Amino acid sequence: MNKTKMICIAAALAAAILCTSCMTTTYRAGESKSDCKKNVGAGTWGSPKNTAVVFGSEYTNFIVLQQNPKFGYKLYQAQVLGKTTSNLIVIVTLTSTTSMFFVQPLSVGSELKVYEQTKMLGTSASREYLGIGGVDVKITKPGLVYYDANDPGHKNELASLKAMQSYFTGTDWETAITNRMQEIENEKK
Amino acid sequence: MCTLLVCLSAASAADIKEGSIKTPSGNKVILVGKISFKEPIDLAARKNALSEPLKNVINIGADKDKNYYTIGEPSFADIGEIWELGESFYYTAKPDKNGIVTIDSFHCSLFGSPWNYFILPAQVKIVIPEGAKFVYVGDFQYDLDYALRVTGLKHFDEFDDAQKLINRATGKNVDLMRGELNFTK
Repeated sequence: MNKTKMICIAAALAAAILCTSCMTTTYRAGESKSDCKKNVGAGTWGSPKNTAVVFGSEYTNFIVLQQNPKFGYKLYQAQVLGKTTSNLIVIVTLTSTTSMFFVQPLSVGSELKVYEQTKMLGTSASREYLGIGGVDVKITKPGLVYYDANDPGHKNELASLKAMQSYFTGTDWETAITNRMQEIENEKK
Repeated sequence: MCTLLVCLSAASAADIKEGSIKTPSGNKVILVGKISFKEPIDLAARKNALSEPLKNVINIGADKDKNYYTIGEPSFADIGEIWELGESFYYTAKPDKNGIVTIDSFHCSLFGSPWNYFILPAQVKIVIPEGAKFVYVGDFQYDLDYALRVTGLKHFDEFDDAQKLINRATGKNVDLMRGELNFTK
């Protein structure tokens, strides 16, 4: 690579850095943290002893359909917490999203069909409707259930737990979340 | 934030009017048949859940009490022919060069919403009799479980009933011929 080319590349990089600004937007869907805690405290939401929390990452909207008629057919929209970061480079906007979600505690025996999932692709939202036939997640035991269809390696599980933890401070779920985080940390060692 | 979605769905009439079906042009044929369920789908149990997401949705031409089906997957560019669940279908098809029409699946949706869909696999190839314009393909009776999963499929021949229906739908006595069905699965 000759000297002139290197100077051009360096100049282009410098220009890109100068023209780049970073914007971060935090967004949330669903109930507030205090409402989540109230729901657990009041028993409206079950405990880790007899219910399960399905949680995951990436999606900015996630809705499941309860398919077990014993509990009644019902749609549950996940709590979502995420950050959208936009990097403005000259006239091109690049958007990246880090997001986690969790569905309110549901009874053991629940059979869930993913009804809708949305994720960000660049600056666009990709929304998928997956229908009402079948079961994607069967809850067979109480506790935490990581939805890993989009993350089979569970690489986002720990980050999702960390983000979720503050919604359950002071409840039985906080202990369950902390224990699972510890397990993952130990597995890494 | 209120989500406003415009759903183009269910624009056709659920009931086939007398004389509304015309003899297809060219080498197209009309397949006459029906899908049914061994046990009725528990619509009452699902109604509250599946009507709920429609609160913020404007459905153009859709009836929230209606449940529809199409053959194959509908697209927003071309919704195609749709029929009400429980009623016969009159599907305009173009046989391939070997005189065969393939039905891969039926696509059903509940409460007037395209999002409330489930798919019934058919996997059948129909040999169209030479010169036929109206071809009977039978009643596909599905056994579904509580999660709308298919647990069984039976095929019935109710030719005489279909003949009466197609005569009414076309407003004349037509020559309805049986297709030869070959299930591939």
